Amino acid sequence: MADGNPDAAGPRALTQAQAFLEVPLPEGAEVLAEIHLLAWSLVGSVAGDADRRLALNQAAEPGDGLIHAVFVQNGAVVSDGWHERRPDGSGRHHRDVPEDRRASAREVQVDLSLRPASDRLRKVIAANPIPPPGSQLIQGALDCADRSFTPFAGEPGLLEIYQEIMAELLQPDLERIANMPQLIYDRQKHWRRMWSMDARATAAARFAAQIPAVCAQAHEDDLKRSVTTYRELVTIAADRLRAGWWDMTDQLITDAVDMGYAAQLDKLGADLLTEATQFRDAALAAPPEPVRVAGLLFDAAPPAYAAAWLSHSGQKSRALTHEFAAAWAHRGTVAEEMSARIADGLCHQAVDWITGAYWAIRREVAGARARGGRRAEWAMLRDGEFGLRWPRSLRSFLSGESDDPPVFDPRSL
Amino acid sequence: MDPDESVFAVADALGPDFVELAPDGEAHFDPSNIALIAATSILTAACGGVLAAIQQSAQAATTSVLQAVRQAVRGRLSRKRVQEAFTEVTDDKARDAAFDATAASLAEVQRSAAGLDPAELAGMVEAAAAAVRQELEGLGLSPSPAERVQRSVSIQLAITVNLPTENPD
Repeated sequence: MADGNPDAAGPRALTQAQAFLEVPLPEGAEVLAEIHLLAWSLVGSVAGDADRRLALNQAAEPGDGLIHAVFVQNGAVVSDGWHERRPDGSGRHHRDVPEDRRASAREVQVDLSLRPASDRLRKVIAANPIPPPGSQLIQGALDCADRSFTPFAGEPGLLEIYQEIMAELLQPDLERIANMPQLIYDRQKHWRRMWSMDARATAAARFAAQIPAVCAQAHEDDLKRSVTTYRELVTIAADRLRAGWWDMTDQLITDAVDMGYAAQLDKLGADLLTEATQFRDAALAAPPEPVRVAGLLFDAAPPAYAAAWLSHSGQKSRALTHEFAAAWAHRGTVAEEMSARIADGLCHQAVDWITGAYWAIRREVAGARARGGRRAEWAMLRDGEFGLRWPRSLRSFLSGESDDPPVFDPRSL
Repeated sequence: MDPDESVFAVADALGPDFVELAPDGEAHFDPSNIALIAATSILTAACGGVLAAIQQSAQAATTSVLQAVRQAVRGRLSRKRVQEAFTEVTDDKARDAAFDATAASLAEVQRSAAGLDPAELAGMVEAAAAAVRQELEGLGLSPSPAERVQRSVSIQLAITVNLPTENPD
């Protein structure tokens, strides 16, 4: 962490991509911390997220207000989006904004050939060669991030699951069919642990494992129907994974709702959100150790994303009753917010650690207290917690009550 | 009694789960200010519940007191009012105004409770905190944060009316 001179760290670290690029490479035990934080910022939520955010931050300043970001790669426009950027460094991505607001937005070109987080991770391992299996993990994360910048790239993990499902479906053995949900579940877990699947692909793989299984359980007193239901839905899952594209799994959700399994999916959605909430709460309750916090956010990201995705896609089905539609809209809002904050948190763990932003935040908290009293101080500290930027345990350092900044503890790994 | 500390305590009990009270599809900034404004609404509603209980206690049976508490809390903790915290622009001025309103409610509760039987007051406090939890769950808050808020509201009201508390933090 760049903590040698507390006064040197710039404020609003995430918005200062330049500061991120200029920080010297880590040494000693901090190499391990930085590798984990960078890799998880790249694949923890949406693959390549840290690269996109840092590239965007290089192109736009905090306080720009609403900007229309046009993402350019190799001279061609690949996507665009609307971003609200506030002076305090916070921001929000919008898929779309009303016509009347668009007129006030400044257009900003974002060069996606700039890959600040990936580049730094490559430099770190070039300077500090890591033997296998660690090197395989790091390469897995870099490859996963790279794929997100490659149009129509398939996820190898999803393709492998597709092939395994197809191979199993050819077997008449009922026991093998019964073991399929666990087989698929374990497979996604493996790819995730190898840092080779982002939260979206992991969610797609979990759907392939869990949706056919929970729907089949609705007929547990009728074995034949249970097996037929499972085979039908797992075949849809395989078909949706055949290109290795996570988003095609959307169809599995709507088909399951159309077939009358909204109640089973409702429970699955609730379970996913509960799982994500438990990891999020554990991250907030963690010691001031960014690798520990990031690890918990890494685990929180797939179920949070899956809960939001399930809620939104399920609502596309006309078969969804009004009662479920209302509950799913609510759950979708909560899960999407959590998913967005987890993505923020994963990037912040890396960028704040690398730039040593904690010292600057501590000064900002002191400034807020001097200007606006306890209310302003409380608000600043909780913004960071509710935004999953730091755990509650960092309050005493940031408010000046203690002088112990975050430290890396290798036992976190 | 420090009204700011009471609001902070309730907002902390709500924590990042305040988003469960958001209107569907809402994406927002200022998480801390939203949580603070929601906490002021919750505490003001709870104060309304205790005040209604005090007014009813001298003249009505226990069941009517409980009904009065629920009605008072429900009227002050409507979906519209809670969701305004998310949809209306929250600046420091709006936040401070909400704090002032809550401080006034807490002071009124303190004045009205002076001289009343502590056991009776404790029952009113518990009834108001339970009514808050019931309303919040009805608005979409999960049982776990709703229980935390209930406990926090109970403690803050107990401090306000000078009742002993088990865990004042």
